[in-house]
Amino acid sequence: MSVIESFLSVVFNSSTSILFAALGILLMHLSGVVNIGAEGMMLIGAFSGVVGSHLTSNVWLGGLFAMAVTGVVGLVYGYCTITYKANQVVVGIAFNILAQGLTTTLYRIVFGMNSSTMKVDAFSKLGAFSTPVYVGLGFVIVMTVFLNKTKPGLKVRGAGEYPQAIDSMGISVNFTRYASVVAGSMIIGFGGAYLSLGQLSFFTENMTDGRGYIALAAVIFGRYTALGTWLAVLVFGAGEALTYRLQALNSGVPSQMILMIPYVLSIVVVAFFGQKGSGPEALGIPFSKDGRQ
Amino acid sequence: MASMLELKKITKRYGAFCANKEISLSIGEGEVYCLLGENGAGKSTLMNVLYGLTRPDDGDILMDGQKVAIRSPKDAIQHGIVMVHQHFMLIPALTVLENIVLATEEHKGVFVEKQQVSARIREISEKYGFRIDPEARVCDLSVGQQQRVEIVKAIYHQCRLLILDEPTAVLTPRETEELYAIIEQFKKEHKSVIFISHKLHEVMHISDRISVLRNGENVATLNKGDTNESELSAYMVGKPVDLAVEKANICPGEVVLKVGSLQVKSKKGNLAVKGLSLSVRSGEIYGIAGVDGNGQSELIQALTGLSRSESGSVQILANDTTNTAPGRVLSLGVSHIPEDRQHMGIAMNQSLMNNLILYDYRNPEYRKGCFLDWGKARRHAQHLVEKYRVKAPSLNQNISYLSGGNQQKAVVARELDKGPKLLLAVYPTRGVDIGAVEFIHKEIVKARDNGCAVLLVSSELDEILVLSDRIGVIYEGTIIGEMNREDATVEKIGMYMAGIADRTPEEKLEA
Repeated sequence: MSVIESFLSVVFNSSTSILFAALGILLMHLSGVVNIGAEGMMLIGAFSGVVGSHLTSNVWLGGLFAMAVTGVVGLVYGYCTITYKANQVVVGIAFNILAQGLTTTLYRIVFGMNSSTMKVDAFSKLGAFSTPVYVGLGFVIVMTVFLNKTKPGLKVRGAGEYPQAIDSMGISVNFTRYASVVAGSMIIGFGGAYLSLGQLSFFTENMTDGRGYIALAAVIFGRYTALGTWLAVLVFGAGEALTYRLQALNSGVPSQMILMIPYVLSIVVVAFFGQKGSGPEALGIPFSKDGRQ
Repeated sequence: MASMLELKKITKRYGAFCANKEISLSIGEGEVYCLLGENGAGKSTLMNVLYGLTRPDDGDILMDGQKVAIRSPKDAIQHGIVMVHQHFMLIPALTVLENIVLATEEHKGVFVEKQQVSARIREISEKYGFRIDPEARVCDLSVGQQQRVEIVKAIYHQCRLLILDEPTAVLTPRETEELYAIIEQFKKEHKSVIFISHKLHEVMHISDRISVLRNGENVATLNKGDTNESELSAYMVGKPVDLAVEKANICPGEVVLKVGSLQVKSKKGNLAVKGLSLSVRSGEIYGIAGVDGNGQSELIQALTGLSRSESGSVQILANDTTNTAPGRVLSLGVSHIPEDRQHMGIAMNQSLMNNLILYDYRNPEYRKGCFLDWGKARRHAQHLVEKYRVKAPSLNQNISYLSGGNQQKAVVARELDKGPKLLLAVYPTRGVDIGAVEFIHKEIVKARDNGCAVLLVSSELDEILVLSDRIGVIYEGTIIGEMNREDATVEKIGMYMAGIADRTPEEKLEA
């Protein structure tokens, strides 16, 4: 395998979990609900994926189990932010903290205190990449078509841009948002499951390591389109692959500095591309009929 | 004429406040029915009831003699009732076609049927004599075009009754004429229109029958042929209106505000004020007339230091204040009644008192060591409330619970009591009841009589004509015509507002 090939293989393999998370966030954001809690949802997905795979001895069922669990988490998230109109940023942060504590505790309960890593089956490879990588690429196309060519997709975008208009058309804004939040959370959950089942085949505490936030940055960098998000994710993936390369090179640069690359990259990107006005108009604003909040 | 829609004793209460009191009316097929009334008379509430946006506490809605239940806009649309809101219900980021697909859903499929819908849009626009590109993004369309998209939407819904909520507020005179033509076409097809307005001349022009609402009651229903503007206005306000404010003759002094070739960009980045020049002298009211969105907001923001100008100059009392800080503008004795009361004029969710003493926190008179002298501040606020007749249960009342008129009176009290040298009054009576309008007008004239220079911005011609000593008409960012009050007529200003100008000699040279 040439250097370039192996580099690209690392890019695709390591960016796929972020890609799923980013597409899930994209769906939620376009419907008008901010999701800072993607990090926590990924973590829950990663954990429940391992649990599901362990219980069923089937990695795909493990992935589905992760989606089901994060779907329920999404429902709770929707209940707080849509029905109860709580501040979406605060709820998201609370979910992150909760997820970290919860997965750690449950992992120790389920797999024992000694926490010697519990190995489960991993996704099989298909050519150079594991199967979900292809699923992820296909999903970019599915999302693009969904958001631009289908009526439910237009409803989602309408709910995020101008919910009053959607309401006046007799379409329920809150139902549209609930559906987007639950579906988005499930996609994010699968991204988390890919992290534990595709790349590592075991769960470690706090293994998402900020990937949920990087996914959030990718959505903004990608200008709120599925295609753009994918390209942005590749940039971040390249950043991550670069850290492995540079570490292997023994360049003398402290490894801590090299490990910073993906995170610095996301800060820079959001600083330059995260101007107000690039996202949906009604992002983060709970909807109520009489216009009051 | 068979009555197509009938409202019977519709009553809607919000707490103790009765927005609609047993309102009954009936609308025939092919009829243009006008609902006339001041802001807050209950027109919008009644239409929200009819459109299923709120539920009435009492009363029935009948279509073709059958009682119907309208619980949501969807129900209304099913009965052929479509409303074009004042704020258009179009999603700016989507195309015309996408908006219409979302709104109609006549086909069951999941995918957008581009060809069919696009053909239908073209067919409808041709029939009604306007051109709409189905592929255009709504945010790229003019306000008038957006309104037409709303009308296409309505026709697409097989609408029998079109509700137009103050449709001309955002239109140029020419677009208004085009709208009238569309309404005529509706009538020909035996479709009915409810036209909501508070502009008398419009109502007299377009409607067949007119109901006047006041304080939530239907005070009169008249055929157009049997009434006239002055009768209608009498019904509207409950007493003969005398908008005229007594004014002494002007004795203008030195120039207080001088604006030279000012250029200001709008938030969108295009030039909104394009080389505008004007000057206002002390003791005179300079009225800027014009359709909303012709650069009024940007001009005022540049004058008050709230946004930067690209080029040109602003002088206040011979001080150069081009691109200066808002604090410095205020310290020169400038008062500002801002256009957006709820966001700029008052601090919502603060007490009335805090709002009244908003500027005084730095004033040494109200200081007590490093604290505010609350006793003194309270006495001052109390004095303002009495002098400017702000009706509120107490000084501690949260200002957001006061009526629009009383909120505005509080703003006027705060701005005028400091004895300004220059007053920028922007839509000073927008959304305010008629009693408060009269009061605010009188206070503005009083300030002018005390030697204050007043720059008045309003889209209400009546207001401009009543108050101004000199009038400038703003069109696309410049003063397109300027005249003394004595030389001003509605027709002349209307021409300028539509952008039709006789060129001045200088402009002829330039061209």
